[in-house]
Amino acid sequence: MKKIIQRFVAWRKSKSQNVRVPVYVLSFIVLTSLLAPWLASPLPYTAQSVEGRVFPLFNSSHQEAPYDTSTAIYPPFPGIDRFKVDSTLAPLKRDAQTGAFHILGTTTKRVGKVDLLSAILYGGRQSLMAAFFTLLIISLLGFVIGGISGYWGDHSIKFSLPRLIILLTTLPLIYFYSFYIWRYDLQALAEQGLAAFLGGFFLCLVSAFVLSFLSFRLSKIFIKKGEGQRYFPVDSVLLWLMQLIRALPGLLLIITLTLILKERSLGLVMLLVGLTGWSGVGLLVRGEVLRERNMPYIQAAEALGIPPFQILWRHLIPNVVGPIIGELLLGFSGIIILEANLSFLGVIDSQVSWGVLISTATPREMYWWQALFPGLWLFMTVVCLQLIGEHLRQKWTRSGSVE
Amino acid sequence: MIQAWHPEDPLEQTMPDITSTAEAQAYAYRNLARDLHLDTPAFYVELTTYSSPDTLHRILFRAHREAASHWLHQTGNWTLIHTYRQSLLALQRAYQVAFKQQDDSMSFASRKAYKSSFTSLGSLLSEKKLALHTFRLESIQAQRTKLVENTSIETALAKALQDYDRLRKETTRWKNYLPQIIWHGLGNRYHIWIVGIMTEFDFGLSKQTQLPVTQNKAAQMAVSFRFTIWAFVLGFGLSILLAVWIVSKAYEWQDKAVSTALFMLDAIPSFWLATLLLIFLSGPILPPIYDSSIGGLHEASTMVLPILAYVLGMLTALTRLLRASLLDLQMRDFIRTARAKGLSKRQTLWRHSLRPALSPIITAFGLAFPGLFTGSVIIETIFSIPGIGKAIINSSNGSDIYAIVLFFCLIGLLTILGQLIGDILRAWADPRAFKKEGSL
Repeated sequence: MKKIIQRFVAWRKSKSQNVRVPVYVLSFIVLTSLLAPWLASPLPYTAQSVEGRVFPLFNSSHQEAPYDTSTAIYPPFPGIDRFKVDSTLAPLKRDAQTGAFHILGTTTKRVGKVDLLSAILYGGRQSLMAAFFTLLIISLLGFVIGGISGYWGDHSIKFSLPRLIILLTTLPLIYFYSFYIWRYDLQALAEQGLAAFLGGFFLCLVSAFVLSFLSFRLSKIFIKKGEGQRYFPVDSVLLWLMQLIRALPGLLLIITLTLILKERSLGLVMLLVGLTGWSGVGLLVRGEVLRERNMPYIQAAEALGIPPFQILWRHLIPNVVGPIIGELLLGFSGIIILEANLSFLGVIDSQVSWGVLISTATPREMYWWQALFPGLWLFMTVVCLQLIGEHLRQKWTRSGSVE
Repeated sequence: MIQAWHPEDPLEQTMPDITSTAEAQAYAYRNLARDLHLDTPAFYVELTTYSSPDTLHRILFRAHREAASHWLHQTGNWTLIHTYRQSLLALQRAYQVAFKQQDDSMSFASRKAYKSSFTSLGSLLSEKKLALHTFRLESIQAQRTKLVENTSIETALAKALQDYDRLRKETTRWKNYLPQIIWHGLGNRYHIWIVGIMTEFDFGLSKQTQLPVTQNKAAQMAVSFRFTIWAFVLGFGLSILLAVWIVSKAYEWQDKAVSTALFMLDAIPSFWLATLLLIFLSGPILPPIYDSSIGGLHEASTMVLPILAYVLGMLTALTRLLRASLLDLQMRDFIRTARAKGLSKRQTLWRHSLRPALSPIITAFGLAFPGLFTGSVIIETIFSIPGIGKAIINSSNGSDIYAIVLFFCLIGLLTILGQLIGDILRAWADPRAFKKEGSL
């Protein structure tokens, strides 16, 4: 703890003055969002009751709602409804008798009538957590695949072509004996429950591994060691894969995949975003690893006989993280926007999220605050992330290390 | 006739109405299945067990087909399964004929008995567990006593029972553990689908409207194009003007102000921007809903806000790209020479720097080219523009997979075309990039 405080003080005294405001704003947004269950309240800030003006948000004795919470939709500031085009839309009028006053007004539609500020906090909680989860997937896949691609390159891994051909020809047989003939048994297990199905599936996988191993041993009988050896182009294959994924149209791909899987839950959609969005990070990591790969310290590690994965994980990745962290923050803001887009379009079936909150403000009704304030939160988050990300990126390109 | 419809059978969901008689339903189902080529195998080759026949796909009803496949898994004897199925169908037919013959003279009890035997026969065909058939067949046999004598039913029932017994006894389950590769030839569903797309541009019928998915697409593309062409012209034009201007004031306060504003603009999500434009700017002068029927000035006024949303969305990236590449060129020798010859900064920018600096935004144009014809999903949804982007969201909400396949193909083709156009334009802007090595 003391160390963290010392670092914080050092950071405050350092030259990174220009990102100080974004860091504070972002921390504020993240903290208030994460603490939403303790901070947010559906109650109005103040309301008129028989006892006079009360403050239900702060006074627990008035939380029994002495005012009508079901019908009216409140603008944030009483009387500011001049943007309204159609004056016949009545609900904008503040309920004169109850005089309830929500700090940012209230929401409607899919979300139901809730205090907008609390909805924004809850929405931010969901958006930020979902985006963070996706970022984890993206960076995991990007670092592992990009690292492998850059470290091994095209001329490190050897394989025997005849052996590969034998393995590939026996692959249909392996599939047949491990999965195909057990398909109805697996179906029966699935009807008994997920655990039973997973157990059966695990047995099938084990059988597939055993059969592949047998096929591999079998190929040893026919082909002598070292016969038909050639390099496996790891880098070319992975690079091709990354560029292919990068070329797919993102939003349309997500929409199509949710359509095929017939599932619109937040978790699944964000998983899909993660699985289709890692190629950018992968390409960056590959580039950085290629640059670091021939440095003396890596050669020294190799000469000491440290296994390749350990070199990659313990030596290369930590040196590569720095230049990429800025890009990761920019990517994080991109994911937040994508999540908001998807929930705005209804591709993600979620109750409360910044995108959903903005989509509730349809122009016919002119509930302008419902679009403005959630969007403002989203905008502030994205701006702060981009400022910090840009700052970190420039810092690394300038010096190559942090101060 | 078919009692146990398959709960997830997609054909059943597309069937026009389920209220008609069972026979009419079965007839409609068969016709629909044939229209969709479900009586052909799925692919050229099939890897199955040695016991399975190459004609399983000819059983049209999905529930019956799956049941037969399960029976195969339990017994491994296709010949006997086939005869058992045939005798069940024959028995069903015999019941049907007898029911029709004696329709008027039948008592209520025997009518009920007829019906219940008939339905339980129907459900037998889709009952996956063969062991459960014993009980059902016995109950049908018990019902026989309540009915009028009918020799054809007697013989058919006897045959069905006999076939069932044989099926239970003469199993060849070892055949299930040997692989078999079946070659189906060209008459398969995949071949028909892909050839239909290649030769007749037949992408299938829409799930929502039952019309070809290719219908109206040209008109929708035209609607999208009406907006995007203006957006592209204005967006690229404005960004060139802006970039040249801020480069001429490089590192002065104008440059810093515009760059900061663009940075902020970049952080505004396009859907929020479009919603805000709609809420705060739309009104009697700028109607929020696009309406092509009126034409003239009014239509133009409905197009202003969407085009503004498009332009604001593209401006940042283009201006930043062009600014960077223009600034990069300002240090080059040929610009310094031009300045030394007495040209003003403005003249060197427009005449000497702009063309070689264009290549990054030409790349951006190549990447954005599909959007010229498909529009943006978000902006078309918000402004209710009946273009391709809106169609994508509509078919997604209606789970119309054929339409989505069409959109994917369309965007793929347009992407390739965009790359080609981008390359041609780049060759014009910067001929050095395409010269052969050594010819410089």
